[in-house]
Amino acid sequence: MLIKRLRESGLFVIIQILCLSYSLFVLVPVLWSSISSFRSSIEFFTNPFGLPSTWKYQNFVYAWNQGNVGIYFRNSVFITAVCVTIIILLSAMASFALSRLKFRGRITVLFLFISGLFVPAALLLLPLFLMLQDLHVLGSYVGLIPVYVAYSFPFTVFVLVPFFNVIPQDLEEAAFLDGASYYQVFWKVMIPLAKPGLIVATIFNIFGIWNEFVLGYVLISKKSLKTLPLGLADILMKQHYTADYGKLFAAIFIALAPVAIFYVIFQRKLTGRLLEGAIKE
Amino acid sequence: MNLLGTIGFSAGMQSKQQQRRVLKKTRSPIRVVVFFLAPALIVYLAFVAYPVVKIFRLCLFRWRGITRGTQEFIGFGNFVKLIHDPVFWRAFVNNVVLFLFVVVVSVCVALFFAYIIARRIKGSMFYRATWLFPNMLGDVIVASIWLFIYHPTIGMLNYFLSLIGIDIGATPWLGQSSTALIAVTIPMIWKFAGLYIILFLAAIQEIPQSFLDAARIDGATRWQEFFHVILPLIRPTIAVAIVFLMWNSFSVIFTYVKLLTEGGPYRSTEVLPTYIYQVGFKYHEFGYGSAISVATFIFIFALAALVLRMLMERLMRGEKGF
Repeated sequence: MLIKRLRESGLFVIIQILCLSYSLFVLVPVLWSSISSFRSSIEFFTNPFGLPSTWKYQNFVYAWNQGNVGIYFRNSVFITAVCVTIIILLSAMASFALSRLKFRGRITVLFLFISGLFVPAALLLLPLFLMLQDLHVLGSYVGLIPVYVAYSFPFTVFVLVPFFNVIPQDLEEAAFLDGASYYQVFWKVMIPLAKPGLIVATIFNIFGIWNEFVLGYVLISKKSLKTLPLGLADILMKQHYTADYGKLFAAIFIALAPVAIFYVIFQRKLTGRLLEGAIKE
Repeated sequence: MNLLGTIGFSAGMQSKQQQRRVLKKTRSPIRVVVFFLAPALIVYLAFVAYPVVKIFRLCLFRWRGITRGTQEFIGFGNFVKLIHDPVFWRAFVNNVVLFLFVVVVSVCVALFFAYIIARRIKGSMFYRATWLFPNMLGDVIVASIWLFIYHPTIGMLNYFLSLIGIDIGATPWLGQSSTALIAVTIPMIWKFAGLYIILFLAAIQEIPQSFLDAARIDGATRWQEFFHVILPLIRPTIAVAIVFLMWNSFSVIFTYVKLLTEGGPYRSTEVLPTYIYQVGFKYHEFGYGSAISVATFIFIFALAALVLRMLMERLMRGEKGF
């Protein structure tokens, strides 16, 4: 019995050590780069790992203004807000139709959306580029927004349809019997009841659009239109020549901070049941 | 329920038309279907379906000149070229190796950690929150951070190795062919393993305690419990998790390779999406680039067809989403 208990507590210690090591593996790079955003560019060579000798907050001012990070940030907020609003509205309408309405071709259309999960945008860069060029919207938001919206549908519909599926038929019928129109049923019955699904879909899409890189990289070339990931990549590729690390890490931190704040707020939702619900088979 | 009671009461005085609409389950009016479905469907067809069709046409042409140059129909000529292109095969193999390595390591690491914190050990909430965090960071941020971890002189990796006594000088992890491909995979694992842990953990905790008790009573060791009880039961979750990585793996892989190595050194980290990008936008061979895309499509769609059926069944069973 004693031996067993000793073995149990030994196991406990080992488990804790493993978990802590993995946590360090995750946290140290994030903390190091956050702290480094206060380091002067010279100190990156003299003292890359310790705390900065002087906390150089000017890195942020410099990155925000001269490094255009301010513009990138505003662009990202704008693009994310516009795209996610459109994505959620249109996907909710489509998922409602695909889940609750009865019409010929329903299964085909559902299949069409879901098969989009297997159409990687990264393989369609060439036709998309040519298509937007033909439409004269290459390099503008008029071209970028519909592309972002379109490539978010498969995942969003995939998440939302099961949530609409489980809304009891009785509620819908009851509403119809009370004389509600389809539009009223959608707004007053379906949307409130599918809210957990809509929240999951919104959170995922916010992260998705905020972080999107590949499509933007090909479709947007003007500096004034770049979003944070595009701008950050720009600074990153140029640092080979300038070695202005202070500015670069300040830019990294500015990109990282909103995600971290958002994560801390929604962490319970994300690690809790909602995420499980969204993806669980 | 209050709501239902009220409505049940009022059900007696409904009009005939309303009665038919509900009870006979007729088709929905076409204008309603169009109103709800058309906006999403039109955008989707225009920007996802149309480019797919277009790429199957593009791949049959040879292009001359910058983007809008003259096009010449050459049939399957691009595919003949592709079969004899060593860089394509290099990119293909690298792509497969990279993907498999990321998936296998992430799944194994995630299964391990999900299993050991499944019994609500001290601090498991903290661990979960910490481990999922990198998954929320954008690929560009993760790549930027890791570019500096791998930095030969000011990088944390070499510093850490020298601290534990392995002093191998200023190793350029991303700059030498022997280590570059593996070095590109680590940031992806760093990012994705956390999500897998959360998903697997949820699946493990869903297993009825009675199953595990039964195994215990039958004298199963922890090892047996894991491989013979838990693993078979959470297999569907693992499958879905892999699919979700597969779905955006090309974008992810493109981002990391582009930012960390640009496909180098000597194409040792060249992958399909970066090669397509190069052929299309650097060499302006849109036809050949499209042919590489199409070949990749056919390859993944063969795999996807299997999974797609499973996903469709899930949506059509009307199964509960959570």
